[in-house]
Amino acid sequence: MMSRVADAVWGVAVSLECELTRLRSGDVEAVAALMARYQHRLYRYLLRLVRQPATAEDLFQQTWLRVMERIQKYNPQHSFEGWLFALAHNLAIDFLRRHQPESLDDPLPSGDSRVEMIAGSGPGVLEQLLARERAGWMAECVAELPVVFREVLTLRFEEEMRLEEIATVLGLPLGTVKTRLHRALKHLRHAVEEKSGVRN
Amino acid sequence: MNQHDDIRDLLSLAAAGALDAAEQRQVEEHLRQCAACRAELESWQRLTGALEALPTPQATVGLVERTRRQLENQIAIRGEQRTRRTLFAWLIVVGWTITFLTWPLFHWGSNLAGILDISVSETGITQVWIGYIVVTWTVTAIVAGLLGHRYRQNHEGSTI
Repeated sequence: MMSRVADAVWGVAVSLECELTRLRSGDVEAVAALMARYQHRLYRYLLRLVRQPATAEDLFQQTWLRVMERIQKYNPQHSFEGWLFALAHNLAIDFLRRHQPESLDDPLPSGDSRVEMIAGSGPGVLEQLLARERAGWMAECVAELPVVFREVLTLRFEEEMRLEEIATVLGLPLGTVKTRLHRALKHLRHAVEEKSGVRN
Repeated sequence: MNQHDDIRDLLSLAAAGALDAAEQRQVEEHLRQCAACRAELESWQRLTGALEALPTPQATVGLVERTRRQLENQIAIRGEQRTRRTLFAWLIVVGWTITFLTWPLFHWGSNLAGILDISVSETGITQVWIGYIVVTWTVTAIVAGLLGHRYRQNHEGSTI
């Protein structure tokens, strides 16, 4: 069983390596293979950031164009995934700076006082809320958070990246990523409770 | 803040699996003796569990294919640009080579005219040579311009 898992992981790593080598030589088939491999994850990440499907698709295409342009600069010692998401991050942030500048540099629109109120609500309330319409609520609540929070949440919980990988993608120190994740979770919890209208 | 508050503040990150080893140990030790924090951690874990279970939005059908076509166009355009640059570089090299190589030829021509007793002055040879260079470079510029024009037409045609 273990050897089958190891073979599968090894096989994936080898084929990724192979596709990257072909990509370096300008092979479009290799890009198509990589696109197929990452399409849902990359699209989901971009959609969480920009929230509009058409824009997410446009940025998806731009990301792969940039991969083609910069593949010679990619260092194979580092994770391709981290590099790919960093390219997507930069494109999405550039887009948001041009179109929604207010949401980027103001990660805490409500201030800490709202967050402090969360500590007062009991775990039972939250459990009830989450049990009701978990997925729908959650998706709406995440979508309402500032982009810096949406991004760190999607990278951690949907892309399942480690904090170090997230720091690489965002180009931030590890401590900042940790703080941002902490604040994002607090804001999300607050948003879930507020949206439900069950707060005291 | 006392230790209980410090630990409580770490619970969201504990649920996110984002604590370092020392913090994790601290939290675990505290949880063994604090029921309130255990309940709080469970709440955070439900929240993070719900985040992990968010439905993955699907890209529209054909996104990969459309992107692939765009990349192929891009590669074709780049190939054309490379060819154009190479051609232009060659035109420059040929232009300069002709410029430098023809002066001795013209000089030799003036000596030959002297031997054949044809009266051609040094100034006349120089003027002819300069005229020749001007024509060479003009032709080079026209060829480069025509190639550029053809490229633009092709590019506009492919993007419509």
